[in-house]
Amino acid sequence: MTQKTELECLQDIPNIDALAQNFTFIDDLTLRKNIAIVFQYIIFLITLEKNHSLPGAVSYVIYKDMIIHTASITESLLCYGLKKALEKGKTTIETMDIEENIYKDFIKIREISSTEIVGGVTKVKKYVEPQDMQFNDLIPAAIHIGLINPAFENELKIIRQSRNRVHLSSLSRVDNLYTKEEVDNMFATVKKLKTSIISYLN
Amino acid sequence: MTKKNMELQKKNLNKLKNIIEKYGGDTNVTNTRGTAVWLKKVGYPSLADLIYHDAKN
Repeated sequence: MTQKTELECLQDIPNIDALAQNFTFIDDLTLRKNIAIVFQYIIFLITLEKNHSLPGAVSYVIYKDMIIHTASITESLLCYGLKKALEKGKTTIETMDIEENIYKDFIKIREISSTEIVGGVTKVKKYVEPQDMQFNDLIPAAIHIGLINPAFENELKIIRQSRNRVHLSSLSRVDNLYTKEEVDNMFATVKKLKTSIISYLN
Repeated sequence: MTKKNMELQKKNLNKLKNIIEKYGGDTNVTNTRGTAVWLKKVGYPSLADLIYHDAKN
């Protein structure tokens, strides 16, 4: 296969504005453009992988890179959907039902040792705003308000879990088992998510 | 400006244009159709669907 030069590879990739056209439902122009930039980079990675004879491990890491960026798009779409749902008054923060507890006003009662103290605190329950949610919270919040179908949960979890493989120290196996099909399935999930968000917000 | 200097300036401008295109500018591809067709061919049909502009959205 003829290998293309760097510049030829780049010339085959749609520009940011063209890619952003697929996300016009996002009225936050910064987010729309940032998503388009990530897609441009993903396409660049594919051209790189397709146009060069790369060692297997490098290809796996390219797939992994695509997974990580796909996860960041997924996370940002979920967050956007939730924020917009609140803004449009389609739901409430209570319906999202993602809570955190804050403990304050510690009062010391008794000291057991130099490392242990018995005391009392005021526990304050607070609902978490979408922009402060972790990926792990965004999925149930989206289900609670009906932004996504519960049957869709596992697909989103797969993306989140795959993204977490970025933490090398927590892996129990050699991290080289990514496939093109796995990555493309994630793109299918993003497409479904996009459709759900458009339908919910309209 | 001498002819030699003009040629040098033209050469430098072209170099600069290439650098901007390569590192700071954007591509000239203004639609995603061709890329979507290629992506389908190389095994990324879902990405192709995702990036091919649908007028409804």
